[in-house]
Amino acid sequence: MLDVRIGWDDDVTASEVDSGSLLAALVSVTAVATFMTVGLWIAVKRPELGMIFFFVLFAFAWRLVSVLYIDLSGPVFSEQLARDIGPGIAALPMAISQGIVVMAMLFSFRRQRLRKLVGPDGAGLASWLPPGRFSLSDFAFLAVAVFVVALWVELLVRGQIPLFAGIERFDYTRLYGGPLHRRLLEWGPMLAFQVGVFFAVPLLHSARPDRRFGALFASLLLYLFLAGHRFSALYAYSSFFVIPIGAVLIGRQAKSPFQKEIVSKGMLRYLAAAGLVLVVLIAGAVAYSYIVVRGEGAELMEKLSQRVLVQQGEMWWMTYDRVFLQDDWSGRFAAYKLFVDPFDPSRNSTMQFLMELALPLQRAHYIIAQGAAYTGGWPEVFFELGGPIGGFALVALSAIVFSEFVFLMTRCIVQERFATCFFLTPILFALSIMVVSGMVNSFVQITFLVKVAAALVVYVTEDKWRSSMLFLRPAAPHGG
Amino acid sequence: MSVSPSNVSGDRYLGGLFMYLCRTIREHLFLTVLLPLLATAIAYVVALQLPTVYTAQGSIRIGKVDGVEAVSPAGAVSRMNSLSFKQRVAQATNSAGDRNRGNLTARQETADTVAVNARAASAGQARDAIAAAVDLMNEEQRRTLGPLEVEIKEQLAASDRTIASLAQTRDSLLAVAREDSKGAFGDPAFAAMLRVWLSDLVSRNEDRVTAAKAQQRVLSARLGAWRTYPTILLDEPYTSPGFAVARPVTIAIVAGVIAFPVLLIVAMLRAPKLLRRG
Repeated sequence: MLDVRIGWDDDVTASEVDSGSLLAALVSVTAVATFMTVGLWIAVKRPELGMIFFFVLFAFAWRLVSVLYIDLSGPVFSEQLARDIGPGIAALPMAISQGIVVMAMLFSFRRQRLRKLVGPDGAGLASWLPPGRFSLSDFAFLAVAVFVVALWVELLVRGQIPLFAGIERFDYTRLYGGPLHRRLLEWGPMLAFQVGVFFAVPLLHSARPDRRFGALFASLLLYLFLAGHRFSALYAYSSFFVIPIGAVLIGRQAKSPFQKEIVSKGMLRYLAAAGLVLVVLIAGAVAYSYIVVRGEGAELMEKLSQRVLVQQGEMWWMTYDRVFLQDDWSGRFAAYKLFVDPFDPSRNSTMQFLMELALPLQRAHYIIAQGAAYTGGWPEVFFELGGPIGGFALVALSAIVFSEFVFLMTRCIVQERFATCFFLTPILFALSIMVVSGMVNSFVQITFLVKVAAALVVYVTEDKWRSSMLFLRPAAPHGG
Repeated sequence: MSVSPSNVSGDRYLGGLFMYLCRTIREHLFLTVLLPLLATAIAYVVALQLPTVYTAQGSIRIGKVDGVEAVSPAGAVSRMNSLSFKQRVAQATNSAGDRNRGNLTARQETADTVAVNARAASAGQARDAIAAAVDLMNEEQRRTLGPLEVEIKEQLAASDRTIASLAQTRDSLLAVAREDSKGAFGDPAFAAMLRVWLSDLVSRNEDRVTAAKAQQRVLSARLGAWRTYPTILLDEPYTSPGFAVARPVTIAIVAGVIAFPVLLIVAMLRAPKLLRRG
C-alpha cells in the first residue's frame, strides 16, 4: 500500500524523495489541475453559470488550493490545531467531491433544459397584469431603502465606527451593534439576493438594470466595510447579489440566443469593473485589520499564509487522516453530535463536531463558546457520517439537491415569480451554507420546516394563480 | 395603456396572489379549515394521552482531594454529556439504556458548580439518575485522586504513631525522674548528672512532640472539609412534572400548522371551481 504519510528529515533533498511521495504529489496536483481547468472553462464559456455558483466555486477552489499546499508542503504547522498536518493525497477525495457538485450543476443547467426555461407567458409578468397603483420594484426599493437608511442612522447614532475606532467586527456587534445591525448580519446575504433580483430583472426585457438597487447594494457594502468586515461578509453578499444577474443572463439566452453575447459581454464588463473595486476594498480591509486593528504588522505574512494556505484546508486534512487513512469514523456518533447533542445547537454543529474531534475537548469548547469557528465543513461532514465510500454517495445526494434547487430558483427569477423567489431565498441560503460549510443541523430546525412549508404554499399558489390568469386571458400578447 | 415590461404592478401582483389564496381557502373550506382544525383537535387529545415526564434539577459541586480537582467543572460537563457516561447512568439506575441516554444533561452553572438535569418516567427515577451521576463522578474521582488521599492518610497514620511513641518515651522519662525524686539513686553526683540528662531528654522529646503535632495538623488540614470533599449535590434535586415531547397545546398547534399548508396545497392542486366551470 502506498504510504502517503512519509516524514521529511532535515537532510532530505528533492532528489532523494522516494517514488511514493512523488506519486502522491502527482496525484494531488492532477486532481486539483483537473478541477481548476473545469472551473476555468465554466468561467470562460459559461460565465452566467459561474455567477450563479460563484459562492460555492470560489470556496471550492480556495479550499482545494489550501489542501494541495498541505499535501505538497507537509508537514505544515497549523497554528489553530497546534500540530503538524500533511503530507498526503487529501486533495484527491476533495477534488472528486467538488467535481461531483460541478457535474450535478452542469447536468441541472444543461442547454436543452435552459431553452425551456421561458414559460408560455414569456412576454413578461407586466404584460399580462393590468396596470396598478404602484410598481413592485418601487415598493421593494422603498422597503430596502428605509432599512438601509435606518442602518446608517443606527451606525452614526451609536457613535463608534469600527473602521476608524479600530474595533473588531465581532466586538462591535457584541458591544455596540444595534438591532438593525444584528438583523443585517443574520439576513444580509438574503437581502443582497433580493436586491440583486430587482437590479437584474429589467435586463430580461432589454431594459437597463435598475441602478437604484445597485446603489443600495453599494451602500450596504460600504456599511460592512465601515463596520469592520474584511472578506467573508463582502464575499458572501457579493456572491448572492450576482446570482440573479447570472440567472437573468441565462433567461435572456433562453429568450433570444442572438442577444446573449452582446448582453453578457456588456454586463460582464460592468461586473468585472465592480469586482475590481471590490477586490481593492477587500485587500484594504484585510491589510487595515491585520496591521492597524490587530497590530500584527510584523507577522503579517505568516498570519496571511496561515489564513490563506493552511486554515482553509486543515479541517479537511484532519477528516482525510481520520476517515481515509485510519478508518476511524462513526456515522452514529457523528449523527448524534450533529443533530441531537451538539455543544451549541443554535450554531453550525458540523464545525463544532469537527473541532471536538481535532482539538482537546476543553479547548474546542472554549473556542466555540467565544463565538469563533474554524473554516470548512463540507465535504467533511458527509465523510464523517458515511465513511470513505458512503461519504461520496452523501456528497452526490447533496450536490443533486443543491443544483436542482438552484435551477428551480433560476427558473423562478427568469419567469419573474417574485413572491416564490422571496420565500425560496432562506432555503437557497441554507443549501448554499450547507455546500460551503457543511451545516446540516439547520435542516432539522422547526423554523426551517416552517420556511419550507411557506415556500411550498407560495410556489403552488403562484403557479396556479398564473395558470388561472393565462387561462382567463382572452389573448396572450406575445413577442413583447 | 402601455405598460413597461419590467414594471410589474405591485398591488395587482401581490393582491392577485393574496386574493387567489383567499378564494382557494373559501372554495375548499372543508380541506383548508375544517380538516386542519380536526387535526389540531385530534393531536390535542392524543397529546393528553402521552405519559408525564419528570425532570429533576440539581446543582453539584465537583469533589477535591487536598484542594485538587479530579476534573474541572468544564471537563465534568463534557464528561457528563458524553454518551458513555449517560449509558453508565442508565445502567446504574436500571433504566432502558438507549432510550434514556439523552435524558441527562449538564452545564456549567458557576465557576465551581455544575447544573444537572435528568428526565425520567417518575420523579424518583429522575432523582436516582442525578444521584447515580454524582456517584459515578465520585467513583471516577476516587480512581484518579484515590492514591493521593491514601498517601496523605498513611502519612497521617505515621504521624499519629510517632506522637504516640514520643508520648510513651516521655512517660518513661517521667518515671525515671519520679524514681530519682524518691532518692533511689544514692550517689549525689550521679543523681545530679541524671537530672541534667533527663531534663535534656524531656526537652528534646517535647520539641519532637510539638513538631509531630504540627505535621499532624497540616496533614489533617489537607484532608479537612475545606480541601477534601467528595462530589456532592448542593441541595435536594428539584423535581417537576413535564411533557414527553411538548405541551399538548403546542403539539396541537404544530399539527394544525403542518396540516394547513399540506391540505392547502392539495386544494390548490385540485382544479379551481372557476376553471372547472369554465
